[in-house]
Amino acid sequence: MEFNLPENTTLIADTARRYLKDNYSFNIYRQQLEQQDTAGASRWSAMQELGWFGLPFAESSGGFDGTLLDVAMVVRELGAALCLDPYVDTVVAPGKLLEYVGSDSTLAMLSDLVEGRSKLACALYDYHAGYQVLTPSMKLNGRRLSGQKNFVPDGGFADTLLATALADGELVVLAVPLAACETIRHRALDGGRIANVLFDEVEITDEMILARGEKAEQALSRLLAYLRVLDCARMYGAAGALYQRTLEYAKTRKQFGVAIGSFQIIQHYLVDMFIDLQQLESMLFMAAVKAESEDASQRERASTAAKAYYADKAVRIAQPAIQIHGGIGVTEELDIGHYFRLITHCSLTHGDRAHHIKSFALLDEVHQGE
Amino acid sequence: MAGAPPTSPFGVAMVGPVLYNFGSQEQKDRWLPGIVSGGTLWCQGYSEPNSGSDLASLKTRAERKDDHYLVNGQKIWTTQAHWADMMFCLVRTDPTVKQQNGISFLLIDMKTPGIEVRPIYSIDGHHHLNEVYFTDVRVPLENLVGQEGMGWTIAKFLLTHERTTIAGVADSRHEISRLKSAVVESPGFLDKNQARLRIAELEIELMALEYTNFRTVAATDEGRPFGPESSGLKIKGTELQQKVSQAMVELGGMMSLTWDNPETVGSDTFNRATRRYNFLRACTIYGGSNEIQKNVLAKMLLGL
Repeated sequence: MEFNLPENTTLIADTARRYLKDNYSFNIYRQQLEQQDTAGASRWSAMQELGWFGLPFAESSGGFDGTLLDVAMVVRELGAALCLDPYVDTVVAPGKLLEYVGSDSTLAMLSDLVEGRSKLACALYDYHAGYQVLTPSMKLNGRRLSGQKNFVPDGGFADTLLATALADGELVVLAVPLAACETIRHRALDGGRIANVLFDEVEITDEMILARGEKAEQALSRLLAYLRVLDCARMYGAAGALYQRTLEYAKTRKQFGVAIGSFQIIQHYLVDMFIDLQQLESMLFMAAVKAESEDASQRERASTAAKAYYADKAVRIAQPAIQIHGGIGVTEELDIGHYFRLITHCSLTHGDRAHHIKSFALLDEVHQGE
Repeated sequence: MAGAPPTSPFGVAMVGPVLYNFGSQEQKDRWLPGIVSGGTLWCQGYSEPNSGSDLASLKTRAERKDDHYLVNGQKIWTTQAHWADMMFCLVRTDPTVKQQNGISFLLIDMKTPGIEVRPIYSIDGHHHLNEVYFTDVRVPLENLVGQEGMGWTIAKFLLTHERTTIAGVADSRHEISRLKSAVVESPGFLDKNQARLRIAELEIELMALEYTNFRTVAATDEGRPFGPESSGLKIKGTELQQKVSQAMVELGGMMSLTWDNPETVGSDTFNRATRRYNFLRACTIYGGSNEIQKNVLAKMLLGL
């Protein structure tokens, strides 16, 4: 089943695939697992030269006006290559937040990011608020910021966080230098780096407040729709790689004197994986187009549906991939288990399955009330 | 259930029953006390790189010499081999007869020269598993259990015991109770009603498994041997273990994203849930994959 992607999108996907084939490998991934700073310097500048830093952003900020579908194809290839370079977390996510806020100062910050002059990450979550991003538990009292952010995917190298807080019940987006905070970094399930960041009466100046109130809420809601689709894209790349590898293994691994792919139960597993993969691809294309819509309800409906579907079905591709590989599938030496962890990781970021099913149901209620 | 670390299953639940059913009096006197006291740690030499589900195709060779067997070959996925004092091992003593008839059951001292144990790290990041290489390993003749060629019969007997313990009823019960506490005590945002419903479903499944397990055990009390129904317990039990661990990861949400966190983020139970979830992907593979168990049931019980 071929879906005709725009020619330019196909070109972007092909270039990304070739670049990763030449510059990344499972061995590099395994070394990167042990590293604190996950932006490999040479690949970081190569990605910039490929135009990935500018791809998601408008030309007026030095970007290349790429669509979410374009970016999703890059992220799909990163997922397929098991690549840990934190492109989404430290380029796309902070950049889109700055762009969606869209003030003079945030657009100037975005230009710096596109030029590779800044190291940003988003700090949107804490374990108290969970996925309820519009009501973070961090508080801005006057000029003092106190609280904590968890699960901050800063690649181990960001120096400034775009963090959310409540100021008198109103959502604010702040740019806070990490130097002003206490940071504990550790490894995440997917092998990347996440941080716990403590803010203890950090002094906030006016320039550090990027957006507040409705403006901040809208920017955040657009950002999350965008990021959910990229979670799906990464899972799609990983699920596709698992399917390919497992199919190949079923054709070559012999037990009882024959390839295990000749057993009906294995055939059915693989056919189920294939069918699910087709559906996942459809959901990705649908959501990538709609999550950039000007219509908020379309954005929400498409991106929550996609993420809920992926958090179930991509996991259901990863599980039989391990089962068919048998013992070797649960070892560190083989990439299969690492893809499994990546998919589990992405199923939990920016809202998990239960969260999105609930959101989706509530959206429906909103429409019925209209 | 109280959360005490489980005893290693290889002695008391596996080679122990083999020895009191098939062992000589000398073997019982020599090995059973260490199995009962836990003083001797055992490991299981079954799988080989090309003999996983197709276990009967195993190639590790034991040649009978004057006063010993000379063992050469390789075992894989050997849990706790790096700690074990002894291995019970399936070896091929006769390569000329039908596969199943050429297998014997040997007890091998892990300190014997010629044995090399290499670690395998599993996807929970830990070292439980090993490869074990045998190069001209001399094993005394008296370490043969039963007769030569009886290995497959003994192996199958042992597997029915392994499968019953693999059902992991107590383990699932313990994990469900940990999950309940984690949900109740969770400091972070968590939809507790949704969580309760999910846990209730798991608990009901556990109840069905537990009572099926009771019936199997009761049957053995009446002198009937474990039969192929142990395959059903293994299938349901491991599926439940996977469901419970997956529920723990998913209910933890982002708290399950941490891998090697130096400090607790919200809930320690949820922070550590993913490693177990990862490791337990193996439980539908080990002890004979669940697909193989279904083949056993189809053939032995349903007559298909």
